[in-house]
Parts: sequence; C-alpha cells; structure tokens
Amino acid sequence: MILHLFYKEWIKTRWAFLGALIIGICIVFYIFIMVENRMTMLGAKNYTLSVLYDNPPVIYYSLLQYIPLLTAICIGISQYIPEVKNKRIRLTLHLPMNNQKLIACMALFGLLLITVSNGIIFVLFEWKNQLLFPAEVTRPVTVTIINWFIASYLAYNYIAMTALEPNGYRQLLYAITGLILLSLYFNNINFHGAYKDSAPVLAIIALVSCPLVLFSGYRLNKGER
Amino acid sequence: MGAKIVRILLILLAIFIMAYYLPSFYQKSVEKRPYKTMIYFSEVTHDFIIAKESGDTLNRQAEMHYYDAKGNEIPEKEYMKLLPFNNTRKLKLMGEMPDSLNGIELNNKILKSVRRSILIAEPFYSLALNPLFESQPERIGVQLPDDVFRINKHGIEFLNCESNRIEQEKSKKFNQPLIEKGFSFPAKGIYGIPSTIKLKDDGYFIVDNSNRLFHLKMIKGEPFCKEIKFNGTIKNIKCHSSGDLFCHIFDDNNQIYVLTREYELHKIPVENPNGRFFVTSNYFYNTYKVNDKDKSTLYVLSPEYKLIAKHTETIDHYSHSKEAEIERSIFPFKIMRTPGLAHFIPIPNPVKDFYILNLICAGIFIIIKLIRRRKIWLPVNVADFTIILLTGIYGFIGVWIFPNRK
Repeated sequence: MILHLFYKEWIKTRWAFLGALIIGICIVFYIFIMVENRMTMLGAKNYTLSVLYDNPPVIYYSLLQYIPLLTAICIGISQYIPEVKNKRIRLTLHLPMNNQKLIACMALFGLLLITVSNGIIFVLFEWKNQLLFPAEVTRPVTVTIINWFIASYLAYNYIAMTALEPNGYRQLLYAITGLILLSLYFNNINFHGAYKDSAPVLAIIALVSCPLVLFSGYRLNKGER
Repeated sequence: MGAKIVRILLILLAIFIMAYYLPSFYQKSVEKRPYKTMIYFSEVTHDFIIAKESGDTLNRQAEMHYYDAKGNEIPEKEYMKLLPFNNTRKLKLMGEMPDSLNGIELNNKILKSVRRSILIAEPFYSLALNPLFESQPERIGVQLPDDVFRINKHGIEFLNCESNRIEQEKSKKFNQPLIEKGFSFPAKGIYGIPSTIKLKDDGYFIVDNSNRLFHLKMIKGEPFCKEIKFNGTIKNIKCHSSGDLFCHIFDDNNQIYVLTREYELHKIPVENPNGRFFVTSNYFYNTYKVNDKDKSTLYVLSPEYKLIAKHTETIDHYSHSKEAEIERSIFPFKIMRTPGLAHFIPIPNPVKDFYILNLICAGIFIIIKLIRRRKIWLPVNVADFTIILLTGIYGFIGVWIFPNRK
C-alpha cells in the first residue's frame, strides 16, 4: 500500500522535482563556470586572495542559496496545493490506511524527494569545489551551504502543514511562523563558514518541524473549521 | 495524543521565534541614543580632558561640553589647542597649530606618526591560508606570490593557486628552518597582514601546537624564522604594517602585550581587560581606552609603555535605563545572534524580576480555564501551565495562538 501511495505522490511531483533538479544542476555548473572565468580574467592568485581575504570575501556560491528552497517549494506545492484545493485529499484520506500513517507517508515521500535532489546538487557542488579550491576553503563553505539544504526541509514541512490546515486563520499563522523561521537560515553571510555555531540549533528546528504536518492532518481528518 | 505533542512542538518553535524577535523589537522601539563621554590626555598640560555630551529635552539637541581634570569647563577652542594631535587640521585652518611642543618640533613625520586602531581579543575568522610575500623586494611595494601557504601536521605547504597542487620544492625549503627551530606542527594560529596594500611586508607570526611563538618571513626568496619567547597562551595577534610595533598580542586572559620591531615584549598594564581596546599613539604618549558597560577607562603610557596615568568616567548605556528595567521584567530570556557571524546566543535574563509577569500570565491562564469550566488538571492544561510559568509572556502568547481543541 505504501509503495502505491508513493507512486501516486511521484505522479503528482515528478515534473516539479525534475524541473527543480535541472535548475539546481545548471546553477552549480554556472557557479563554477563563473569561478573559472574570474580565475582566467583576474588571475588565479588574485581571485583566490579575493575569496580568502576581501572584506567581505567573494561568496562565489551565493547563487546556490535559494536552490534547495526552490526544490522544497516546487515539491511541496505540487504535492499538496492542487489536491487540497480540489478537495481530492478527502478521497486520499478514505484509502484503507490509518490516516496519520497516510499523511506521514505523504510527507516522508516529499522529504525523500528533497533529499535526493539535495544529495545530487550537494555532491556535484562539493566535487567541483574541491577541484578548484583547497580543503581549507571547501570545509567552511560546506558548513555554510549545508544550512541552506537544511532550510529546504523546514520549508517543505511548513508548506505541507499550512496546505493541509483547514482553518484560514491558522493557515496564516503557520505561514508567518514558517517565514520567520526560514529567515534564520538566510542571513546575509559575509564570511565562509557562517552558521558554523548555529548549525545544530537550525538542524534541531528543522527536525522538530518534521511531525508538524501530522497536526494539520489530524485537524483536517476531524473536520475542524 | 500525537497531535497534542505536535502542538507542544509548534508552541516551542513559536517561543523560539518570539525570544529571538520580541526583545529586539522592544529595544529598537524604546532605545535612546546614549550621550557620549570621551576621555583624552593632553600633550600640552599632561593631564586629562573630558568631553561630555548633554541633551536639551526641549529642542532635542545635544551638544558637547569640555572639562579639564579638575572639572572646570573649558571652551571648545581651548580644548582643541590642548589636543593638537586630535585637531591638527582644524588648528592649521585656524592658524593656531603650534610649531613645537615640549621642545620638540612638530614636523610632518611626527604629525603623521599618529595611529588610531581598535584591538579585539576575539580572533576573527581565518581560513589559515596566507600568501607569503617577499619582505625585501627589489622594487618598492609588495608583490602577490603565485601560491598560498598552510601549516598542517605535515609541515608548511605551499599551494599553487592555479593548479591547486602543493609546490613540493618550496615547501621543503621552508619546512627545514621550522623543523630546526623545533616548531611543533600543526600551527594553532597564523597572524599577519595578507594584503598587498602596505608599504612593506613583515611576514607572519605563527603560534605552533605547543603555544610557542615564531616569526616567519621570506627574505630574497629564502626563509627567515625566529622564535619569540612568550609566557602564556596566545589568543590573538593584531599586526601593524607601520610604526615602531610589529603587533599587539592577546593572551587567553585578554591581557595585552606589544611586540616592538626590536623583538621586545611589553605587557600593557590594563586592569580587568574585556578584550576591546581603542588605541591611540603619538610621539609623546600611547593611550589605551577600555569601555565597559557602565564605565570607560583611559590608560596613558609613555613611549616605553610605562603607565603614567589613568582616569575612569561613568558612561551612559541602555542597560541602565528605565526601558531596560522594564525589558528585564517582561522577557525571561532572549536569543541573539552575533552580527554577521550567524551564531545563536541564548541570553538568560540576569535580573530575575520577570517572575511576577510569569505568575500573572499563569494566573490569567488558570482563571480563563476556570471561567470556561475546563478541567485544569488535564495533562494538556498542566503542560500549557508549565510552559507559561517557565517562559512567561512567550509561552502565554504561544499557548493562545495555538489553542488546544477537544
């Protein structure tokens, strides 16, 4: 039954997932084409010094910031909004499966898709990065970008929770709470290795947000207004 | 049951957000600009001069008043004359700049020797990759090399910026003197000025794994390495590109030292250092100012770094205001981030006078529950009550934003 449910979710989300993934891969290639271009035009030593010691340093990977968020928004919206808007979610809730388990499986599928997309983009970025920069640059850069990837899980969880919530006032509250929490992950960074100390707190917030969708699912199932 | 636990998680997330934003909104909306108090040391009278800002609440204007060490008010023109190094441009325009001071001619060299800087004990972020410049180049200026160096457990390694590969020969050449001097790899800290915007290069000051201090530079392509005796653990080093100093050194107690270009080490006699110093130096004096929350102290030192005088003034600060007092009675704690560094710092309220509001919030919660004829001993209500009691206003708002339904 779970596999069938996953297949249903895959049909809903596949184009959004593939579209976001292709955009993400293109952005990673674009980032490193720009880096190589700058190295050629300015000279590798000058560009490296700008990356290391400009104040603020060149954050050559800043374009990557919103890619995981874009993936989460695309998957979240395509998975929940049409189904809730057309009230087809009621049909889903009548499937022969525990409703809480069903909502959890739907959310799990979304989170898995985001993980696959994030994994591909992350590995590609790290591979290109370590070819061009020494480990002393790659390590702090990884710390920073990981938090942008973590933000995608929080965004997805809040989209799912807001979309399934039957009450408009609560939807607004959830959306505002989600946006304020998301803003913590997107500071204007001015050095490599930003979020190093706050990363555990940000990861815990994202983890805590995972079961929130069950609350909206429970209220929807009860027919709350 | 699952939904009720999830609701609690939702409330906790809301409390986190409120603790992050509400105290900051409150402070920004009520905070007033503190009036400035500045302390100077006159090279003319060899005594302190205090500049205080005071406000006029009627027309909302603030103006500076100047006082001598005895507390007598002095006119602004007199104040400028007493501090010729601080007001050189204005005095020259007024035609009041003295030709000599204390029998010393105030030539361009002496006037340009004035330095002002801020020293911070907390080390700024560093990626531990630095370019090693030529310290005695044939042409004037500093040229950027093709490589950067790091000091890890294998020793010093020069990495070519273009190929991202180690330059084995150069690495071996520079590793040799470090090994001979007994350098313990890897380096704990590398401090210098990794910029070409300086007149000359002085190399780097490196703290090895055994907390020993070394000076490394490149002279005509050859390595120069010297150990500098330092007792204590080094926290940070602030290097200077000109003047008679190599650098200021901070130890792990925020105590500050100066290292002269003759490799002489002087301890700066500052009491209760908090890790932030405002340094001014000229031909006659070196001054170190330490600002605490409620007071500012100026230490005056001779050119040989011997203490001559010190003076303390109380200063205006938000934490002493009535608004801050109200803030402490509203918010039980707040969460802050260091500017730019994106680190969360939970700050518990040091003055525990917020408990009255916490009790009031918890009381209101119970009264409302009783009016609505709810059973207050239900686990969910007990949990809400506990959250409100512990987190006060945050918990109260959180619980009512996300109410519990049957």
